[in-house]
Amino acid sequence: MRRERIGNDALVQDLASTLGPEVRPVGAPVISASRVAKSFGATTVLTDVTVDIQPGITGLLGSNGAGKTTLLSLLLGLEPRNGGVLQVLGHDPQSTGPEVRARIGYSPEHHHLPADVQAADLVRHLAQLHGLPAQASTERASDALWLVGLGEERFRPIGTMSTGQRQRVKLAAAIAHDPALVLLDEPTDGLDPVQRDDMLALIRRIGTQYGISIVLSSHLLEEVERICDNVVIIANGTVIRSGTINQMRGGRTSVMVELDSGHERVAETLRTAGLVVAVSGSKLLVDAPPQPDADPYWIHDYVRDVVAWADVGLRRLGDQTVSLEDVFLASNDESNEAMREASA
Amino acid sequence: MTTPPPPPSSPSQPPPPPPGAIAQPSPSQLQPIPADALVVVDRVSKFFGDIVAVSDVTFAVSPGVTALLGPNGAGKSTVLRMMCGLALPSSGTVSVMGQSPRSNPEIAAEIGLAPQQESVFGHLTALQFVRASAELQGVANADAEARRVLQLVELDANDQRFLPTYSKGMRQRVKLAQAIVHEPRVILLDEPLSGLDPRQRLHMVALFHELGDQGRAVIVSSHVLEEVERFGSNVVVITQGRLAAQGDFREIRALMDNRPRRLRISSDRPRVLASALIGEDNVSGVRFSGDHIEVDTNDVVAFARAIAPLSKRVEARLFEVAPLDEGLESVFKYLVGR
Amino acid sequence: MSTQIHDLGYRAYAGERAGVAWAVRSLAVHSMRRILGLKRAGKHKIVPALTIGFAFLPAIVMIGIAAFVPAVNEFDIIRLGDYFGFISFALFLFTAAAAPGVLTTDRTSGMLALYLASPLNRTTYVLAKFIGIFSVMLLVTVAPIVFLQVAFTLVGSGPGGIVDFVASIARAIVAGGILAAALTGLGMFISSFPKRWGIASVAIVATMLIPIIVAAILTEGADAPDWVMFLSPPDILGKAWEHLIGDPVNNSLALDRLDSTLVVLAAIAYAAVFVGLTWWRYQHIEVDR
Repeated sequence: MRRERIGNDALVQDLASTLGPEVRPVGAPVISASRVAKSFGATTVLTDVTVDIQPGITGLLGSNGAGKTTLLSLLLGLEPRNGGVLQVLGHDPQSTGPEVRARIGYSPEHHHLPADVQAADLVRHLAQLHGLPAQASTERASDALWLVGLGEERFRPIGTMSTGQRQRVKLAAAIAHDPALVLLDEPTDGLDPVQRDDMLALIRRIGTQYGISIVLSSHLLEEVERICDNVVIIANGTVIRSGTINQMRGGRTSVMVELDSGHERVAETLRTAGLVVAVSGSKLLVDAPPQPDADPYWIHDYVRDVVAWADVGLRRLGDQTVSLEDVFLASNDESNEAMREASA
Repeated sequence: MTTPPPPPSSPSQPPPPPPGAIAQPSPSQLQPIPADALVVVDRVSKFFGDIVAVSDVTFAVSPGVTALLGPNGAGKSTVLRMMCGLALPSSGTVSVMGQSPRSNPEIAAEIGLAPQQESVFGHLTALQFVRASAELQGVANADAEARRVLQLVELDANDQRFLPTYSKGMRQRVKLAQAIVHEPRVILLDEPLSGLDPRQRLHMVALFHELGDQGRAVIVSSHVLEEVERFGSNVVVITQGRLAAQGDFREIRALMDNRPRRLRISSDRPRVLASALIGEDNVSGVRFSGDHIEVDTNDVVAFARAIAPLSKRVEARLFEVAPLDEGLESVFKYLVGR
Repeated sequence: MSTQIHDLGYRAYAGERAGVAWAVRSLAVHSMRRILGLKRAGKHKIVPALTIGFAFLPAIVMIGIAAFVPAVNEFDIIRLGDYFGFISFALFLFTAAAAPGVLTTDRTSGMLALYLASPLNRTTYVLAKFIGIFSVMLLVTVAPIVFLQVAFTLVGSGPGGIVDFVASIARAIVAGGILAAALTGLGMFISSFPKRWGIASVAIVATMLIPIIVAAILTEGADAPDWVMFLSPPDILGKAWEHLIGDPVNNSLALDRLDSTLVVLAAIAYAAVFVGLTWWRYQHIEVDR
């Protein structure tokens, strides 16, 4: 019942992260899609996928059946497109599939892995298939397994490993050949909260310090919010929203203030300055009429001063932003509405 | 000659207990079993040879939605299996509506289980699978009931495809349908939301609440704590084979007051603010993290009173003040000893 | 030496990256190792070792006789043409053991999805597997005969001159090669269907035995025309091998009466068809993701 933690490896990684430079990938979009379409027989799955995915960590969101899995297949060149232009790392996966796949790492959603194979052997074998010479494959497989925290377990058969360890084996296999882009499909599935935390931190480190771009497909919007720089939302076969997390959530809306006491007193005082204040339980939502010339954060200063004057406890202060989940659900609703109207 | 300054007073605060060591209450301190409890686990232990999987766990589950939490491999699944009668405790008793689920088949009819494994799917369609389950449980009008629950979980009863071809999300919904078709009073669900997209999850959680409102005990084992917070606040946390905590997780959080709280503060003058904060009595630590400051405080209430006047005094603008450890995740991590 | 702390962080790979050919070779070698039980627990080496040993057994016996009892003509014991018949069951068993293990397990263990996400595609995957299985099959279809010829030559009972020697080796390679190709193709095609390799193994053995039995009954017992034998791949493959080796057995059976060229062509056709069917099957097979 030993809980896997990264343990001593964390020390190594911390050391490395303080010494190594941050190698964020920069440059041209890693994936560039323009009006990509795909049908299977009579079923149209993707109709007009147009998006540029920038270097960094991108979350790929979509309801089941929206076309995410199909899009991943197209990115890997596993299926031919029915239309549109698609470039992955500068190449068309349909015409140059092997070259594109050589530079991509992939961790599938399912947990099946050969039970009688040692983790190091599996990772080495896959690295070699991706073009690395035999010795380099062995070395990099070992490195990758240490990096994901399985250094001591790397000679164990995968069948003896727990779900958490298998997820990390898949991750190691995806990065061992130093890909430019890694596609992760539900990488935290089956992990308990602590393991999930560790895995997300690992993915974040890979995406920000190793120069590897990551596309993360997940249904857990909270984890996408936590580690992704950019988000792409797919619904009804097309990309309905894309951009950075901050763009997704929109500009500042209201300022939210949580107090221990004195809510009405503080609210009244704020209102005398022309602010619109709504009180809800222990929270105040403060809005200002738009003032183009004013310092946008004057509300924060004024709230701070009023709270200090009122001598009450300030628990929370910040911009009330929309959650990614709200954006996701709202965008999906919009898209479904549009589909209904189009077919009506 | 001046008198020397008085010696510093000895510290009166006892040191905080090590993490995860919430004292196991002695039997006399145990919470009384609620009158409406549908499942009672009483001093249950389970041994597999020399391995202790579960050790002296006691809790009760009332109608409504209860989340069963715990790290992988720490006894949670074993407890779940014992609650539905698939395993017998080595010591202690598990009773569902007053009777042992393992020795009383009539009680088994009041229990619905949606396990994580899917080995029994075979070559069946969704309708066949759910209907077979209904027939096994002796449900009258098995076909009609099967169709009803399939509609409840938003699946097409007339779909002729075989279950192994279904996507994960659809399989999850079939399992739930099978677990509720016979209208059990106690429903046990093992990771029922994995593979579902956000909308499907919302719908399923709403279904859990509906079932709970009908007076059933819906016990959901889940790892996605952000979701669990939506189930309601009733949790049972099992770690290292033992019961780490149970009850309303917000109250559990409040019980953890002896642990320092951490807040994140974002300011236009972080260093100036940090210097001022270090001078405060109730601040036990300040660190820089990216653009923010993280402050540890032993006294949240006093800190809350102090932060606004202090910031104003040093003319540091506050963009954000946010507690970092209020949610279920922080409770969980503390309980499992991270 | 000056004091240093080394950066143990991630190292980017700036070395050579090979292409698809290297990937095919790697997978083929990997498959060969798995079939022979190398790099696996001892129990996986037993069946391959026994089967290969059995394939060499008649050769070893014949050489022993040639070496120690020169008066006896070793070919009175076993004629070269008989060799296939003698070890045929071992060959079928070997096919049944080799192909399923490296094909069905990929589908159930999730490896196929990972392979197809590498520079390999469905076609090069099948190619790599074919090369792997085929190469190992050569150990039982070609190697024993070559071994035999070389050993005979060394003890002095071999073919007369260099030309004859080379010719006999060439015949062994061609005959064994076609046989290996056909058996590999058949084994792969049958293994591309079931989820469990045990089922594939049984199916392969059945596909070998049943046609032999049925064809024999039809032609010998029920007076069916001779060409019915063309419908029995194992019979045709064996006969083609005999013709190519240059020492066909003649027991006045229907099989023996068939025109030799047609038999050889049929064997080649069978090889091509089985491999083609496997390729086609893998173009359409569903991969779990």
